[in-house]
Amino acid sequence: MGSKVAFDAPRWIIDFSITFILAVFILIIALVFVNEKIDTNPIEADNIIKNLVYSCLVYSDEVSSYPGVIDINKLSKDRIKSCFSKDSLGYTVSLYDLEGNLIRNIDPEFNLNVFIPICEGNKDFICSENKEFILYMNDNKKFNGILSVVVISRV
Amino acid sequence: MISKKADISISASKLIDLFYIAIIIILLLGVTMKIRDTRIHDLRVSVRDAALTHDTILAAPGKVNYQLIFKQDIKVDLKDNCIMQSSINGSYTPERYNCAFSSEKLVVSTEGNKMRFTNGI
Repeated sequence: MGSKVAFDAPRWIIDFSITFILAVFILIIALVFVNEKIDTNPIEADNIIKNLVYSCLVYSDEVSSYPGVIDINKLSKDRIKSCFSKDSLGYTVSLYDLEGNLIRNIDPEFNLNVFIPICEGNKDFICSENKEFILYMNDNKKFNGILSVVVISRV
Repeated sequence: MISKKADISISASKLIDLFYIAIIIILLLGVTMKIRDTRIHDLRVSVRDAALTHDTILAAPGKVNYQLIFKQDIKVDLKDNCIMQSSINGSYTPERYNCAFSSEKLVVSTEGNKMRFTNGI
């Protein structure tokens, strides 16, 4: 009789505990599924580089403008800031020649830019780098180059 | 009499078990229905679609006139500070997403579940 009483009390607790654990498990699965992140960082990076190459930094003369050819004189902090800025992300722009030598590096000093050096391995941020082959005009001469954009956004 | 008492005690214990099982089943059904309801996902995708379309059209070197159509009851508005704000049947939802500021001229208008983008070139 004594052993039956001792069994009945834990049985209730065990039932409740199993139900509780199952309920929490189901809710966690549901919450993870519903709150799944939509990673737009690569699209944002692509948008920025397209914006710079085909709109913002485009070389133009009296006759026409030339999308895909950038004017190195337009590659400045103020110009880039006025072209494309977004509260939720930051980015830096670098121009290299085909040998990989850095010609110009612009940091528009967006709020998130200070975190770019520590982005690697940091779970709070997503970073991506996009590179595009471009032509750039310098002193009325056309050169080949690589435009690189490093984009950082919060997770 | 003794056997009747025993019967009642067993069915009470089974009733409690059934109660716990019912809780789990109801929870499962509720969660399944919530997951099947795609409205939250649709809202999240809609605001991102609108913001990224806005940013993409900024990059266009030529004139663009583009119309984005969302699901029937979803509306997305462009708010101050370039925020795409979603609403369902007229009431705002927490789903919003930033688009990009630019000196380029871009005209955005909303009509029902349609959003029209026209750049000023």
